[in-house]
Amino acid sequence: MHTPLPLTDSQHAMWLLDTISGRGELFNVAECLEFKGKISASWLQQSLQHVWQASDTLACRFIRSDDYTPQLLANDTVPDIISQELASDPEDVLTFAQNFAKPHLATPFDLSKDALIKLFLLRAPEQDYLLIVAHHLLLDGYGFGLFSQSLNRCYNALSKGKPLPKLRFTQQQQLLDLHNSEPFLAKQKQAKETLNQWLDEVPEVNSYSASKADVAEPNKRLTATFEQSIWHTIQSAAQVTSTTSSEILLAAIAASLVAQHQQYHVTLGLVMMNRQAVPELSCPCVQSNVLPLPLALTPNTDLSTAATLINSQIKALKKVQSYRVESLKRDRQKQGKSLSIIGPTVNLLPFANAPKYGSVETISHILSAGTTDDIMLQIHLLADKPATVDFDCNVARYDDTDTQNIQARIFSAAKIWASQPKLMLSEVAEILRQKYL
Amino acid sequence: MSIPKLNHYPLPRDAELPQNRVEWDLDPARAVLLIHDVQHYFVGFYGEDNPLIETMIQNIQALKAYCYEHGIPVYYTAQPIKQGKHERGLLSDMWGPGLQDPAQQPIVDALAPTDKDVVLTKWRYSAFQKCDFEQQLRDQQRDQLLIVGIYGHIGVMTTAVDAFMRDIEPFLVADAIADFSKEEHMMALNFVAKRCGKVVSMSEILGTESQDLTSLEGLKAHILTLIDCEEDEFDEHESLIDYGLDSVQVMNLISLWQQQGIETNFIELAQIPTLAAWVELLEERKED
Repeated sequence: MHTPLPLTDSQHAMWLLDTISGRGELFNVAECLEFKGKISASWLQQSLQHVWQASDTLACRFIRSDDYTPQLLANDTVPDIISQELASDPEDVLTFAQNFAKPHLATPFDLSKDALIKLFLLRAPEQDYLLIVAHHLLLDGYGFGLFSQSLNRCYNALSKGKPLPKLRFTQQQQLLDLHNSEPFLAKQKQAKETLNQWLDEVPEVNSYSASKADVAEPNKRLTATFEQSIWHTIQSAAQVTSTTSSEILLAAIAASLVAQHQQYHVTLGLVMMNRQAVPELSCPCVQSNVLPLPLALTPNTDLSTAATLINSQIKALKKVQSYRVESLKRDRQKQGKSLSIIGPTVNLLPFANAPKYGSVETISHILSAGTTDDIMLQIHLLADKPATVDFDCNVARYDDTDTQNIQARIFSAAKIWASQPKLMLSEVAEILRQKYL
Repeated sequence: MSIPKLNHYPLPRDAELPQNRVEWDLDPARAVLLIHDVQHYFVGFYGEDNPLIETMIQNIQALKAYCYEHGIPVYYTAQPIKQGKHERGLLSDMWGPGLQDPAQQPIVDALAPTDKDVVLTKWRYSAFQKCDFEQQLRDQQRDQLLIVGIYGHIGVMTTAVDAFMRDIEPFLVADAIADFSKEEHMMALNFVAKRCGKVVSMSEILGTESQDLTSLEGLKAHILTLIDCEEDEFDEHESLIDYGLDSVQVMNLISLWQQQGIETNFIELAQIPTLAAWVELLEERKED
């Protein structure tokens, strides 16, 4: 008989969001792994079993105690990978996978009964496709990567006739011990103070829409990729400013907001991995956090100054990333201050990986990273290749034209500022205003 | 019809350079340096303060100093102003009237030729066309040509092809050339390496070592530039995440290793986030 365990802060926050909203399907995430050939269903199921049984943060369900406190209870049942034959290979894999995933994304998991993941192996004549739908309470982006990588390691061991690898995942109790340790709690307390202080200094937080309309249907996505030559200029600008291409993109996003609101203090929401300690980095679970990234820019800021400021603010944010955004909002509410603490949310995804299953190459397609009530920019950073950005929008706040305008404005800002790093922010904003607003 | 406005891009790193077919060794007694078309007019299309041009000029300055030190003659090419229809030929159809303003004709100040240098008048893509450049090389018994300057895939590459056809060994210095774009830059390097010359880097010529990002020392030196930590306080067994190395920087490292044929990924590196463990992993992957 297993003993139920308490939840971590991140799990608790996700559980609450799911429970209070009454719309668990909003927290479903999905990914499709496209195999560039055929794979063994049996090895894949064996691999899943091995990974699943090595982690109690995966093999679990989330029950409620008598006093309604959520708890994690081990659930040894390994999900079956549901196999389906396809008559032909899809022409457009992404559209096909999105359509296939749609009904599953729209179906909520029962947190207290189900394993919070469903896997489908779709077998076409030429290629196989593994479609994974999971609840965000089970895995975040990093957790998903850790899960997939482990699955791959096991599969490759089986394909080479080697024994299955020993997976050294951090277990729930170890994670709880870390999070209840004195140094961790002291750091969190300090983080609370720092974040509240930052927000006290923020004049006003703007996004691309002033609407507060709630999510009524799934987010709509617009995907765009930078042209190769523009991406090279962005990389070069990163070299010049001694930062990375992600800082240049964040500067462009900030410039696009300045153009719209003519307010030079910009606050973005930044998805933080929130895994610092080694045990956290070895746990397939949810841990990520979204925190405000306040940027006190000025009309005279050039690209180098903006990128350096963003870089140092992200460094400062890392030190406070363990304090949950939900707790921060609660603090603001108690003090009678604005609950609007973040503008557009940005998720930097440098986890690109295309592992081989035996000799079969793969391509990963992220179909849904959950639902946002405003706008979320998922920036896929793919080694030397140009970045791709998914603009996930709440359709109650943004129509297609709005999203296209935001995309064009940000891409244009990146091109203009990277090409002429010495331009001042006020000049970049003015060019954008004349062209797009 | 004129040259478009040009942007900056990162110059290729050593690990990105194409494999050469030939094994020529640069010999100072046989070589000549050609600084190709670095005139105000052509440089102007990159705009002011262009980082690509600034780096290229710094590299050419260093190379020129090396050539002076090793007795390697330095040549320049420069196009004349207001060429007539007959002089300019088909170039007018492709690029319009070309250089008109006398102020735009000189070589840029940072690379201004000295009395020791020879400036050739340039008429066509190749520096050898309508000019006695080949004869000047023969007279000095020199049959190796180091080529730097702009634009990589036009005059620089064509001069390399022409040199090859005259039995003069062309060496293209990959990070002392600028082009319309990185794609065109790499196209020129690939073509020369595969068909008519040797592609070399500044570090190869100057004998300076480029950082080996798979060795403990090389990787440590690189990582120290990314984090806030003094060298004597750095411990290779401590977590790099605690030192402030972030996920995007890790991804950049992954792509640098990838250029050397070493495959890693963020998740596996994050689980063993120390320099010592990474070097061990890289060693294993090299053996694979």
